[in-house]
Amino acid sequence: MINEWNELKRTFSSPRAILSYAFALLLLAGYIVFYQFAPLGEPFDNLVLNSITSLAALAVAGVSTVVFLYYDPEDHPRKIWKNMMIGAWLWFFAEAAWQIYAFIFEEVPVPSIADFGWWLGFLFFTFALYHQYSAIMPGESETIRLYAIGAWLVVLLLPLSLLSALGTFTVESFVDFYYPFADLAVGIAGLALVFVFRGGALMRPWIGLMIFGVSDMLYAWAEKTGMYAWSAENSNALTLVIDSTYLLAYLIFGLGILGHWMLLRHGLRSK
Amino acid sequence: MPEIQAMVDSFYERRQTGLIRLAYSPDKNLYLFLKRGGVFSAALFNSGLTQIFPRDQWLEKVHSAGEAYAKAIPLSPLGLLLFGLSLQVRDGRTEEISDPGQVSQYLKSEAGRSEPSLVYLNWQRSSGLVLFPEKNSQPYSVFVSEETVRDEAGLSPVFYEAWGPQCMASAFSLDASVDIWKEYQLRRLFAEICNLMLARFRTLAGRALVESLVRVMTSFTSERDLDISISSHKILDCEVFLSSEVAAKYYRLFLAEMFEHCAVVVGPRLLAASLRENIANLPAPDLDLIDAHALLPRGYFYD
Repeated sequence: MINEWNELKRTFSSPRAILSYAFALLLLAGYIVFYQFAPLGEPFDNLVLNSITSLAALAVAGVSTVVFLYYDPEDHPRKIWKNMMIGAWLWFFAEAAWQIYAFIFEEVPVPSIADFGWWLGFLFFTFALYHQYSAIMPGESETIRLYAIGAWLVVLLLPLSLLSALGTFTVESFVDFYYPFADLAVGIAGLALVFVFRGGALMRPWIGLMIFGVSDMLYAWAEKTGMYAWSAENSNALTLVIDSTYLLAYLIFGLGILGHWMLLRHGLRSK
Repeated sequence: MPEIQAMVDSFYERRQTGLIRLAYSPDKNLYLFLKRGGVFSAALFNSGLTQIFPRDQWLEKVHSAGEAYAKAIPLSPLGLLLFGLSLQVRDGRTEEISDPGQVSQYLKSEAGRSEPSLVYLNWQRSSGLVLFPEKNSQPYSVFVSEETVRDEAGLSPVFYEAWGPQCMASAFSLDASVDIWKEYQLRRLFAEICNLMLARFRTLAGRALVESLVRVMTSFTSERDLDISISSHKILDCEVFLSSEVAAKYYRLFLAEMFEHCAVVVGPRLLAASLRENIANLPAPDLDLIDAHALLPRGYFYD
């Protein structure tokens, strides 16, 4: 842990890093203020709130693109970052689409084009996770592939069979059920990577993915139990926590990737 | 004596590595070993026995030994190691080769051995050393005559020339009780561990971070005046050590530094696991050597 702490201290001392942390804090503070006080009135408060989330997703996509471009074509990590980048851009487009829907209809239909973006994003994050695990266990690529396919089958079939057994299957309910399982799978895979890279800089990009798992599960639970408020004016403390955690996940994801880019750019330093 | 001092000065000016051989009689030779221009050790070979003494005694020994025929032989660090080996090895299998054509057959048969071995070929006015590492690895050879010095990876074709009517050939197998064999084994093992870990680090972190590691390690070796260079794919160890203990000490420091930087990126836990995975495939004698010299940093390999 000393290594990681020293590395974090080094990273934090860079002016560019301080700016990034300040920007992230500003976004989070702005988000909470708009959530709590809704100063502009509908629909502009929601527009600002959703724009902040989209902006965070755009930052993640941008910084993951920069990391991807940093690697040489023959570098193994380039495969990881190619998929991370595509996944991040798909999530940004999904956020933007969701924001447009929310602005026009207030309540977003399910499924929508945004769901397709998130779904496809999950697929590319799975590829990224597969390549990362293959780098860690080079002799176990086949097993990792089987686990990945198995996880996807569980994520797709479990909600399907549960809903069919209860006789409540609709495309909407399937999509709603799918997210918690997909988040759980990605969250567990991310958590395992954080554990594997514990104390190392390569752990940082995966922390955000893990937090997405927690945040999306909270959202799914609140939405299903009717506790989720769809507008800033009707918001409650729980919705604030859930939505802030979602934004926080994007911010931590982005900062983790940014930390990785700074390590690539500045390299290791002599003692 | 002034001639010998001039030879030493010439090595110093060029920061050359090599040796100065002082031949007093066919059975008595004094060797001065020089590393980057400075005498670092000396050895007296007298009637089949080798006595090694520290560098501060070489002047005194040269003074007391009398008149000698002196020859300066610039060598690579590995060539120098071969000479050191030839002075310290024991219990060789010696045979006489009367037909120059048989030298190649003799060398071929030695190359097929599974254990590392050193071959010493001695003609009347020239001599040669060939180190055969493990099977399927490239040998290393040094040839010295009055006019020629060959020091190269692989088996020099010069060995197959007719250097005299008779050749005494001696072969020495690896003997772990001889310190310089241990140094050679440590050198080989150190390079193997570094190369394995570099490949692993490259897969996990990519070229940019490997190159960054290379820069950090280059600064580490230059601060300690070690002639060990590291590239993104392999390590080139041109350092000469006084003993296996000294070699182990520097290799231990190098590996500790390298692993500490790798751990910053991949984490100590994964680094330790990768290290164990790579080390597990090494043969048992190599593992014993790692243990005996505590070569790998505590915390990554030892519990």
